[in-house]
Amino acid sequence: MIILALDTSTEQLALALARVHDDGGYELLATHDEPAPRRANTQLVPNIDTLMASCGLTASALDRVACGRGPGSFTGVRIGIATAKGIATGLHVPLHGISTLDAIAWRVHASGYRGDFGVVDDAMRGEVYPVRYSSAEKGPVRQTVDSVAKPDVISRMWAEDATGPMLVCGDGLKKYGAVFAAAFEACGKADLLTLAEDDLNHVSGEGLVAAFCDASKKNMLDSGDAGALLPLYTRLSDAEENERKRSASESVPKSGVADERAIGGLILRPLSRRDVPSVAAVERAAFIDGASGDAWSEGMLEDELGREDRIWWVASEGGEIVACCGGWVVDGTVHILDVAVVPERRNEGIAERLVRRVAHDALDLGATRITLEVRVDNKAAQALYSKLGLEEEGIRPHYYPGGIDACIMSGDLPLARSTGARRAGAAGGTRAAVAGMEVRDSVVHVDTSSEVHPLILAIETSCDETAAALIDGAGNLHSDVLASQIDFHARFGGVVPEIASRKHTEAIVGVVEEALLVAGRDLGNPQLDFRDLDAIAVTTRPGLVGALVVGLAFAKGLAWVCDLLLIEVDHLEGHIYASRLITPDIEPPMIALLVSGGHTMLVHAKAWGEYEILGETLDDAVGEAFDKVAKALGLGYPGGPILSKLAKDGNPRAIDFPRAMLHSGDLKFSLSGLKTAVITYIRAEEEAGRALDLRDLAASFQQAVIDVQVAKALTAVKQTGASEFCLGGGVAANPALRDALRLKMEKQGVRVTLPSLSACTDNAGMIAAVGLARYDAGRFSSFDCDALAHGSIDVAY
Amino acid sequence: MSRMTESVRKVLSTMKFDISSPEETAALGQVFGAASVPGTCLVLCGDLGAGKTNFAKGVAAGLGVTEAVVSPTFNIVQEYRSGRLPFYHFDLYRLNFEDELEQIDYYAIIEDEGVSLIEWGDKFPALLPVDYLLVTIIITGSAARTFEIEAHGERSLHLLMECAAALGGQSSGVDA
Ligand SMILES: Nc1ncnc2c1ncn2[C@@H]1O[C@H](COP(=O)(O)OP(=O)(O)OP(=O)(O)O)[C@@H](O)[C@H]1O
Ligand SMILES: [Mg+2]
Repeated sequence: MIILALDTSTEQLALALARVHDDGGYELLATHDEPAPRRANTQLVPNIDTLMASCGLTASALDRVACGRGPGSFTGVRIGIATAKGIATGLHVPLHGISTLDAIAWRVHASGYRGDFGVVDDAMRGEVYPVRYSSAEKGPVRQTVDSVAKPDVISRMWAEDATGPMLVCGDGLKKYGAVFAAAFEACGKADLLTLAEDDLNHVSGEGLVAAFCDASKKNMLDSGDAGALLPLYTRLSDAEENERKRSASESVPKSGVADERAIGGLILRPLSRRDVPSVAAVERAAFIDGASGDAWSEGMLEDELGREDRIWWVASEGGEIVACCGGWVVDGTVHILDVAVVPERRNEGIAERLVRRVAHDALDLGATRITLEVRVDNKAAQALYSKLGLEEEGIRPHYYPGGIDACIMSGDLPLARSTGARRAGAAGGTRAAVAGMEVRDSVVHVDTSSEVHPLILAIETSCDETAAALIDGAGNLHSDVLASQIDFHARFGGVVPEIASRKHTEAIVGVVEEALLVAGRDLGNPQLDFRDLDAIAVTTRPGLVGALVVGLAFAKGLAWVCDLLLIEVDHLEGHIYASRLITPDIEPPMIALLVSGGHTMLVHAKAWGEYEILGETLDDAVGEAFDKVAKALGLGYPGGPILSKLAKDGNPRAIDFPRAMLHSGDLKFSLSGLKTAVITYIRAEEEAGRALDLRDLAASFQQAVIDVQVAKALTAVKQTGASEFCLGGGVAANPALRDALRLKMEKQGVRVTLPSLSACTDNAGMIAAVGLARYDAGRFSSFDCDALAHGSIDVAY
Repeated sequence: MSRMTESVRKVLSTMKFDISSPEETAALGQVFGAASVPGTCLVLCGDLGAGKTNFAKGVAAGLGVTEAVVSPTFNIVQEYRSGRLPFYHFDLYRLNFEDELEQIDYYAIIEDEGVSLIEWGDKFPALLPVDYLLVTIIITGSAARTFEIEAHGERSLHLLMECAAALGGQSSGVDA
């Protein structure tokens, strides 16, 4: 069995190619270890390629992939995992996660060291990831589970515990070596401590292989499901952590957004204090006969809140709680304490969704196993848990009232993915769930069952939606799949970048597989494989780099392994091509106005793929101005929809805000002056004790924005003689801007293409359209390309 | 520098500048940009619309950056490479949680040998580097601003003094 092992979770790039024998022994074929700080994304795939070539092997020789899942730098580990997912998905081989710290431990062992040691990797923010091992002849034995800790606390603990010589290693020593030295000194044990030298502080390819073989021998490997593998974070995101703290205290109101969305659909959210009475009622209803266990009382539930090792989720619909589930993380295992669903909502899969959420959080808290008790005669529940990958482990006699036995079931985390539901979905309007996100396919499927090459897969992860689409050489979209994270972000009142990147990493395999599956059916070729494709197009700019790299790393892994061409796409060019998906006969020369939270620009598309930026904002973007004004008014996020709703009933001429750059003679924009003027106005009114008329204020602000946008867009059209105009970006959803542009443009005889309101958000369909054009133009990229926060579409890429 | 007594150092570690137009704000930034050294970190705080981005444009100009500097609110960090030193322009406005800083490589960048400027940099005080200049902008009128600049650390103190000296030679309404 040939295995590729990789790790980018620290500043070290570690790679190995090995032949693993049936007895668990291994033979290294090649390794490559080098420091690559902040370069993992550009260096990883080229180095894998070189490594394989050096052994005379091609990608298809791989039988398995093993990937370090940290703990380490969140972005670094996501790059490694996303790449490994791409490789394993393309090859249909298992992907296993390896603890980066275990790999370091095996390196220490290989160096000949025997005895106690500890590994501490830098966790940033003044913290480290510590694990203690003891090393016997057979190999290192882990003494503690993964966690995150303050260096002074952990060093004191280790020093106090030390009874013999102790080696400390890991890249955390660079910053905290002295802290460990001081702690041992303070205990009078300075002579017991050795701080490791250079090499032993870093993960190596060989260490990964050794750790893999060890886990394999001990039957401790995870399921090998590429979609399910996740980084080892050891902590919830700060946003979630904060939310739990808040919801444990009574005073905090629940997120209004979540409630609004709750109407008509089931939503899952963490338990908060104000839910306690309703949850207790659910408990009483669920355990009405008292036979299948005890209902949790209000007091017991109250006591659970705010405990760091407890995880409770509830499912509610229309504001009413219908189910709940709780878990307790102890020593790397999450014990499911309770699953309760009201009788009338059973058999809808609610329990499964809740258990998955709890298991997911437990994973972030460092758990690797899940365990629970279930009545021996409750076959339905047992079936559910076996579907999740749990196995019967034993019987706890007379556990339940009436002398009923409990069956103990346990399994590994992450839980097995649900595949049944996805496969069963009919082409067109598929609805399934990937990582708790609803996945939908927005293509109107027509019968086009002949394959027109090139077939191009497009991937987009630039913001808060994970999307994939498949287009053919004739420009027909055969799938356009999107997993929206909106439910996750709504809880926090805005997109949380860290959560976006976590969710992309979870959803990417499911979304891409779904896009392939749906397209295969649509093409009348259900066996369609990634290898049948010709290229992968992926958004590489502009956007949040941490989010972009997930899609890019996955695309690189998949393209490399399936021998597909890689095409980079600028998200903004996507917005221009989106117009072609709406108005199929639209042709350049055309003017595009791109307005979003991050952009405000007028683009002259002279031909497809040939652009000139006529003018951009000198400071703030339009969407940014909306958000900031809304924030100054205390109106919440996102500001655009809130202000435009208010503006509808206001007088746009009530307040005369400045129209910056209206007569500047060029096509540049400036919005910071308007922002400051509005804020100054608000302050002055407040100081004068006058009440603000929010509707008039919103209308006047919006009008000031629109006047300049429309005037400049008109000038651009006149200057260039273009007869087509299109609008793109999130702010394209603003009704007043749409109306004003349409009116003025059509008066000039210019045809206007506006994105449908639902398409103002990001999808992969438009990325696929650009991908096809770039394919035809021969614009391909090598595997060392990088994600960019900013790009200029007037420069050929 | 090295001969300076403790008490003198304290007095000199904070300076105040009264500004009366956006152009003057940019000019002030330019002086700091010109004097910046590898590792310089400028932490900006002040209300929405105080002029942080405006000041940043000046800093960039002082570093010789030729690209257009715009508000980094959306992308959170923007890198400029055309100047004398790499210029990293952060804006933490959209961030609410410490772990989001890792996303944008904050830790690696501020330890890097470029010049970092952080709008809304007072959001996560625990995560500031050891040596930085704290620039507080107070809105005192429609176009009037007071800048309070405080040095934290030896390197920043040196930078502040150098800028004060450079500004002393000008009669641009800046008073130290
Ligand atoms: N003396 C001044 N210095 C700076 N800006 C001024 C001054 N007087 C007026 N202004 C105006 O205030 C605005 C400052 O906007 P800028 O975007 O720079 O603020 P900011 O502090 O970066 O805001 P944000 O919090 O949104 O990032 C500009 O439009 C500028 O013209
Ligand atoms: Mg700003």
